[in-house]
Amino acid sequence: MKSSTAAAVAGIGQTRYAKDMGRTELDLACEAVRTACDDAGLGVAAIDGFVSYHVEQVAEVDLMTALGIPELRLMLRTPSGGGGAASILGLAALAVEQGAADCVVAFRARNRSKAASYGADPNQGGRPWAKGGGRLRDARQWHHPFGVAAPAHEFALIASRHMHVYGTRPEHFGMQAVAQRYHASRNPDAIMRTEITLDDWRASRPIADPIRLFDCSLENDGAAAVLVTTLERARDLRQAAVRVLSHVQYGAPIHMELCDFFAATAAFGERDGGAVDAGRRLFGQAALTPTDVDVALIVEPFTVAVPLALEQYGFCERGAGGPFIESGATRWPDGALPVNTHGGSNGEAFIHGVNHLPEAVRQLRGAAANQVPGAEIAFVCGAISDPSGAVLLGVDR
Amino acid sequence: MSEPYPRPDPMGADDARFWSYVAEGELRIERCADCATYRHPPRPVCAACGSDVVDWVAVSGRGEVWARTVIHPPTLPAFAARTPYAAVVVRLVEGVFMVGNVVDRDPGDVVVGMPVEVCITEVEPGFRLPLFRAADAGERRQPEDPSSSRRETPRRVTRDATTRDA
Repeated sequence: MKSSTAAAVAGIGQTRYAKDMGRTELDLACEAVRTACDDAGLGVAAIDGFVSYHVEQVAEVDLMTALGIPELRLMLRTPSGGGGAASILGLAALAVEQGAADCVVAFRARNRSKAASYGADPNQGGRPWAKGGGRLRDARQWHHPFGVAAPAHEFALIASRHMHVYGTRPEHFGMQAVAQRYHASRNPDAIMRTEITLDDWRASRPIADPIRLFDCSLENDGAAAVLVTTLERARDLRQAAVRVLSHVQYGAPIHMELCDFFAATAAFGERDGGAVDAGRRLFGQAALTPTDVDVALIVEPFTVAVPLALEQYGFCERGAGGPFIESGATRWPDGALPVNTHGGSNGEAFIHGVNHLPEAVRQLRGAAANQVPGAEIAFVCGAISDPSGAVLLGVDR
Repeated sequence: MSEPYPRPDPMGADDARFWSYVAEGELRIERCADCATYRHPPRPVCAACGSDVVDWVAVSGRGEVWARTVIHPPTLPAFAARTPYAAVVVRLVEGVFMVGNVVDRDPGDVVVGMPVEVCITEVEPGFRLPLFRAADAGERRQPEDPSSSRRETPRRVTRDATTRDA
């Protein structure tokens, strides 16, 4: 790839993260996008593309109209919820690398408190069983009649298989929850500022065995955005450019279709494919290996997603994700691979994983609350249980 | 329980056919008429060979618990009154996966790897579900070749959705 078409993150933006903010998703998105532009030192008129999730409730044209963006050249959406967190950045980079757009913002806005967001549309908030009027016309017909309806139920089933195959223990998930809550306790932007112990985790109520409340992502409002442009342009902007070194996506069944998930995914080392192959592509394209990564942002609707991702992307052996966490490797500051240094989805906030993107950039700018000293390479992946993807980011040097 | 079961209301003929067999007390799974690959949930074509002709095969209903959880509140209104309850993913001997419940074990006694067999159960008047019960492991010592030892006639379906004996 010619250096002139390399892509870089030039700006990051996020709102305050909190419950019941009383603001629309459009309002939240506008703030995150404008903050990303301000961070880069660009006006919003410079934006010529948006990338978001297919479940995003804020329409591109509404953002365009609200912000006064004169023209959009690119509007992209990627499948799935938390699976797309890294993909929206990767697709923004792809568009810039290919010259399809020059200044692309990837964003996600959520208002889990707003009544208007709790509708029958499966892409809106609310309890999974409150959608569709109880008539099951889609994949839910294979889950709901058996009392399996929430993502926690699905991830619990996935976790149980990993435990059976590899001997992973619930406490391994709890240890990651504890590490992330420690990270969050030191992050002024985090919703959960109180540190927890493993005993606190054990005392938190069971949701779906082995998942406990403290393993779960938060329900909150907020928005996050990253601005991607050419490396050449980014070098002239306000912040140090953060290079997009490589990006991959992969198709795989989602946790909401468990029959297919268990038939087809690589989640347990019983088959290759999915993230395993994607990880090889990701590191191969960047001529890097997992050992080169200084900090990892792993999107985790539930903490069980962390060991699965660590294994499938090659940070540890298959089945060794639990012991890897137990060793302290994922805990800042002393761990070999600090994971979710902002506090993650159970500590900082749940913006469907997109709040992990600004944190990766902060780490490479040397500006994180829990800074990994001298961090040069950051890894971000979307939720492992979905059609998903990953990116490698690096300092510009 | 306080709320009725969420009932499948499929739009597609394939999904509807699965549930209509269940309503008749049968567990039938799609099997490609050309390459004999099973698939579930129902799909319009065979992912292995591309054929769109299927046999709906009455399967053994035997398998093993592949994954399990015990679910606590909050959950579906229909299930709220019986929390905590176990839910499972079962791998049938035919190789396909189904979500279900094990009816004859306490939640804590449902474990990954346990042999189970289907029991189609009327959970509400007029509504049947393919649930599972614990099976004697000895019964599974020789999983039969599902393509050769069926006792029942498969029902062949072509794209015009007519059903005839194969």
